[in-house]
Amino acid sequence: MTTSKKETVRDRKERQEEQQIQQEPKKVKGQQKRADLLGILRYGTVGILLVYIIVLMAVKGDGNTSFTEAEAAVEGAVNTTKMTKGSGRDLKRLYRLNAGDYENVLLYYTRETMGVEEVLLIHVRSENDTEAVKAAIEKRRQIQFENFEGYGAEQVSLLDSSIIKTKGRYVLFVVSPDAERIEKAFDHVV
Amino acid sequence: MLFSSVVFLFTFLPLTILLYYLAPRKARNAVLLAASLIFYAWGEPVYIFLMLLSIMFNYFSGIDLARNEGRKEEQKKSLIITVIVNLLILGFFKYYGFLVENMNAVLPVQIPVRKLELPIGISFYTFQTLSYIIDVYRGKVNVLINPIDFGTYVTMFPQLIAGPIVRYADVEEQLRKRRENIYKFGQGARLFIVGLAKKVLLANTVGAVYTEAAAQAQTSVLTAWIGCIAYTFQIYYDFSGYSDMALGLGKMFGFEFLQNFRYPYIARSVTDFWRRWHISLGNWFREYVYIPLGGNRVSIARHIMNLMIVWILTGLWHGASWNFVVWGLYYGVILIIEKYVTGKLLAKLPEVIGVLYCMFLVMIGWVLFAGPGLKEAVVYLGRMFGAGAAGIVDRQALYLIKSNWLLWIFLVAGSTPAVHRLGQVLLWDEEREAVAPVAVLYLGMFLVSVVYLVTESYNPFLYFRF
Repeated sequence: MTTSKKETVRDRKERQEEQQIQQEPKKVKGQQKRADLLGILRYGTVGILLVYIIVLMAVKGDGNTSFTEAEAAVEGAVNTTKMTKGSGRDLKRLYRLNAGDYENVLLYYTRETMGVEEVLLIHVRSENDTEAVKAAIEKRRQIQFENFEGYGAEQVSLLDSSIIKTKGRYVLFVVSPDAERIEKAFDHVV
Repeated sequence: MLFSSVVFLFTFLPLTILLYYLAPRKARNAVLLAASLIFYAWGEPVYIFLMLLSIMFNYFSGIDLARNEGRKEEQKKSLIITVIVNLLILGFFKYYGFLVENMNAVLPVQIPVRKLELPIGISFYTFQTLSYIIDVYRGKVNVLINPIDFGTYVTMFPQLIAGPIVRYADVEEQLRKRRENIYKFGQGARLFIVGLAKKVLLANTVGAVYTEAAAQAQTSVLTAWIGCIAYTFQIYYDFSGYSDMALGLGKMFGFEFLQNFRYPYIARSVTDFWRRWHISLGNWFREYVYIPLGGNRVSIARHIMNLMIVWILTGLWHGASWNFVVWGLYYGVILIIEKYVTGKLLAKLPEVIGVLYCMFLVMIGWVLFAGPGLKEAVVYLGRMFGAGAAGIVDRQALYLIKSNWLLWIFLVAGSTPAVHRLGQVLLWDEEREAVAPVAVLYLGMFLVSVVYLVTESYNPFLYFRF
């Protein structure tokens, strides 16, 4: 009886060991499967990231439009006979913006006391800056409205038809009878 | 979205706080994550996908590292791949244009540049995820299995876009379990208001002085120095104000982030300055670059090389431009000199001399930093020392001093512990804070800041571009 009992315990042990040996490949297989899935998810994410960047480049890439090109196009469309090219100081005076905060700035403003013509082209460093620039432009336009409202019908009309446009990292502001022409020139290159 | 904007102060923040505290404890990280994604998408609708993909990749990579625990080779391979992918993403968005432009300038090639916008906060969140990945590899922290918690860590809006760089090890516990209470909330709100006032009332105001001085085509030596001093204060109040707001917001949601500034302008040496300025960035570079390179437990030559590597990288971290590289090199050289030549002498000097010496070098550094390019910085530095300047003193300089005298006093006092000590004397009644004066003071600061915000259009954050 004792021998048979001992044998039974040994048998059970052996059976358990055999089962363990049989289960081992399953466990390894399970881990392998999880590893494969993790690898797919990891490298899949990198793949999606690459596609995303390619699409971004195609849709949002700044292209090769240098400021020189944009500046030349806008300047070519502006009638500068009654205008002065502004400096960083003028930008500060008129818009409270610091030229040093931006990649490049082109500013023209009227020489006439009763004029409102202005052309401003700013190439910002980051698209995040465009909102602040637009806010400053809006403020300037509002001040000009207040200055001329009530007695300067022509000036108010020009301000009404003024253009504030953002394209990538460029912000354009035009108060001019030639606003449409200037906008087209800008659109053509940017 | 800016912290210092009406939409954040009166819509986003109150709604987020309300939802956060109404939500059951288990769902609070999810509320924070959702709020942070909206916060980010508000200004960066396109780049939200980049951030989400980065989170996913790093989340899976963390699990992969943990899964390979004990298998050194596999784990190392996994770490290297993860670090490379992260650095490639950062490098592509931040340095690709700079690299191609320089290649075009130096080599006989004309590679077309198709620059992309810099995704806001990318330098900050990449460094945060790297800290997590490296610490999981080192076995310093446990892998994060809950994707909501991981997403919350990376995107947490208080510190998402301009730091401080929060290492995962510092918030590991807090992400799972943190205590929110009314006292902590109040402390956070006060810190936030202080940060807001620093930013709106001081940084923006002195920023306008700098703008005025820098916009001049011709300046006297004194005007150039006033501009430099104005920028020195602007960048301090701008960035430390933002950090205060981030720390305050963190407290309002139960988090404790480490301090990012400790009165840097009273430092007695440049070495001391960098222990007080942007502390989280310094800690990151020390932990993940300097020490792995061997730190100072190497030969002198190797130590010098290690310091230069760290400081060139620190410069480049701030932006893809040569002036940042030179700025980094400038500090690398000064720190090496202080370490091996002048350190002991500086320690013996009277405190005032040490502070003046440090401020002089820091201000020169800020001229290199302010840019917009290296050439402009050199021209400006020339003016500060008489080259190309229109005399020593001009009317502009006297006007800038006279019309802003009160502001200068506030700026100097606020950058020392004096204001804090004064506050303790005036606002503490024996062992308790005097409630009414404190309430009036903070409410007053908040209201004045809001009035400034509504009326002023000039409201940039200098550290956003990094």
